[in-house]
Amino acid sequence: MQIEFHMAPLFAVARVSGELDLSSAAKFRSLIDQELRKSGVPNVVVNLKNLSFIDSTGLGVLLGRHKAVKSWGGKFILTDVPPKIMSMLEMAGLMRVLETTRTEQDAIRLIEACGYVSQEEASTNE
Amino acid sequence: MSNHLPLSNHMFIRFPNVSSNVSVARVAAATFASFREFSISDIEEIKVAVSEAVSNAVLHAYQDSQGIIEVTMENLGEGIQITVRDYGKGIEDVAKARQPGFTTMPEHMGLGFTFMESFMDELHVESQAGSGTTVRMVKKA
Repeated sequence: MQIEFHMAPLFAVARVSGELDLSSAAKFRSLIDQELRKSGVPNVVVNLKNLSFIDSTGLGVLLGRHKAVKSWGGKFILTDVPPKIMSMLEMAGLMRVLETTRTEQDAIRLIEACGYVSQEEASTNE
Repeated sequence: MSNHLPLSNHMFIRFPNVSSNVSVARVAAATFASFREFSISDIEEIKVAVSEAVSNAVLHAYQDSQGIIEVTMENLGEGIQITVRDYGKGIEDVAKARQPGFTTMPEHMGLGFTFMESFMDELHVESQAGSGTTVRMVKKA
């Protein structure tokens, strides 16, 4: 599993490729957390276009990051979700919890409409 | 030339409880299954089921010590049977562990057995405290 980050003032885009399972869940968690801590951006767009496999451990770590970002009032948005990954999200009931958009641009538009400026400010706004 | 294997074909792999072996086990199972009349989505489902069973063994069977996990793949007339076995601490209450959402670990969904049950045609779990757990799954072709 690899993550390529693209940073902007309001958000981080994380393009994930490979497989998200027990052997990569901890790496996914620490890379995302590290990048958010370092940059201070409150929102994350996770592009799953090149994610080829996910199981319940991978789903758990996605839900965990969603909860972390939500805790300071930020947005955690999944985009470009491949059909087989989407059906796993649906089976796990995560489509009721996680926000998804078709493209990165759609996610960015949603974030810009909210206009958060920092994790601290987002927390204070809560 | 037919690429179908004789019905008696089987494969046995044995490995330590290391998380990187989860993907090796599911790829082996998917490759084994690919010689039968399964669709691509059936094979994806087999991969998830094996991933769940082996992840459970890696995470829970031996706690912090090293232990062995065995995966047996067998060609049946009607499909394939995959058995994942460990010799660890066992599951105290199998019925409770199989309930959707049951988990003992943070950031885990507790959906492993639910996915195995949904994606395979049969799921049998036998466990004894102190002697380990055997998960046997059948997927019909």
